[in-house]
Amino acid sequence: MTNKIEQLVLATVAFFWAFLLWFSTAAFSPSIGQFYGLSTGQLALLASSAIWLAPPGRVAAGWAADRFGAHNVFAFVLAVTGGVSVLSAYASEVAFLSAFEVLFVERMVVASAGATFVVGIQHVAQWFDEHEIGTAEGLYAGTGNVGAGVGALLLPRIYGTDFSEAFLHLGLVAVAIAAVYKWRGQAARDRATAETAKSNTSLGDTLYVWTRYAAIGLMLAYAMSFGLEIAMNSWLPSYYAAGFADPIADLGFEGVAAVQTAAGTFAAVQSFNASLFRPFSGYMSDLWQRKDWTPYPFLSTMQEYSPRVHWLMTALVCITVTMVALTIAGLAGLLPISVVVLAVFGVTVSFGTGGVFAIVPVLFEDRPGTASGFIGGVSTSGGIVYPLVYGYLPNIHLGYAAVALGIFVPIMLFFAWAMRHEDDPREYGIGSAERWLGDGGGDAAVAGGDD
Amino acid sequence: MADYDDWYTWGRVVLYAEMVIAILVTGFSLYLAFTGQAGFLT
Repeated sequence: MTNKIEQLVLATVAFFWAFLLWFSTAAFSPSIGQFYGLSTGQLALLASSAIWLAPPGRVAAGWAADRFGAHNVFAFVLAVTGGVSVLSAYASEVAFLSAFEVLFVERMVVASAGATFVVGIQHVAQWFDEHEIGTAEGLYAGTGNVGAGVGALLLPRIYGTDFSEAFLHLGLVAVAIAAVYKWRGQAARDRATAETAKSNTSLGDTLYVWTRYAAIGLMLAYAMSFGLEIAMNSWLPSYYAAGFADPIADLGFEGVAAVQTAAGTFAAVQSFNASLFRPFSGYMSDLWQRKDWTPYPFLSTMQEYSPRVHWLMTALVCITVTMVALTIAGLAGLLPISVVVLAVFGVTVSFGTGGVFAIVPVLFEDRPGTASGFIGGVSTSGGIVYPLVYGYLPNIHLGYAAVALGIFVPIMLFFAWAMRHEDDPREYGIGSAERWLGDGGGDAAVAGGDD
Repeated sequence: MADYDDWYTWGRVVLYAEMVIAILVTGFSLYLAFTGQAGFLT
């Protein structure tokens, strides 16, 4: 016998470890760079490769969770990525590949552990009730996310430059967690719930989800929050080192290593707040739902979950405002102000991430994995796009306002447009529900709509 | 309902604790950095 708390703890612990695996390469990148004699370009490639497999990996993992059960998929991915992490502790030349090239490929596979995010979302969705889903998903995702920050802080302190030993231990524990998850995990609270998700895994089901404007709007909202969070994780150390070089030097940090440490400390503020405030954001979504707060006249108020959409809209506005504030603080050259704004920014990002996944399991309750895979997967490409904008503007401080006004405002307009309908937004998309699902398809018996 | 109340109460305690941890870690990190001591963290 099990209960939903045990399932939530299983998913959270597993996801925490998956995040550790995902970002453990980055935690040791200076040591790896030194060991293999890597150029900055090679290090940058290694860093970005951690995200390459995320979009397709999450889409596939989400679908698989519906089809095979979350505990099976999570256990499988953790076992494989854990095993490859162990292998990567002993990376050496193979055929025509150099030792570094072998390590690169192995660490890219290990990084795909991040795809399990959507598996855990699906798992939690299959066990918890609608009125508490925000808090449940928030606890799962926020507590898991913090694995990256904890890894960045603790791994170099525990292992020094011995990244091989770290990769070995992380991999072995991952395999152990996989075994426990397989043993104690159950796909859903009852057979019927599990069977419903399993029966909705055809290509038509996937295309139905991908073509709903509401799903696209949520995916863009997640690109605005989580996509932004991972972009900032990789960008901020460089930003503070370059954009506030004089103030950091004035504080007494001399030399590349010291400046890097200071810049990294400021940057980590965003990551910690974005992770640890996420459960609160999910709780706020539940609270708004309970209180039936729907302050925005342009958003629908007629759906059961409308208050949650209004909470998310609030989050998106806050993210946009703090991005502009970051630019202003940067242009003014005020480091303390910039860092305080960054801390608030991290909190607003958590409002967005927690707000999105309080809605997804409710809106697509019969296809939670497929929906989570699309929304949580495609959005991670924001992590690659935003730094390109930041890096190519003439003034390093302008990037945040440029992205806020040039990308986020259009996203918010689209989101409001997609969520304006007084009737079911799932009826609106590219092609009708009937076209993708045949007769009698859709979530909660949608009657079909227009193209 | 009892199940909901118990776990939800526990859940709220955890989420408030996480917020407190975030504020403490943020404050501590920034204090060290602004007093030129962030090297302590490496």
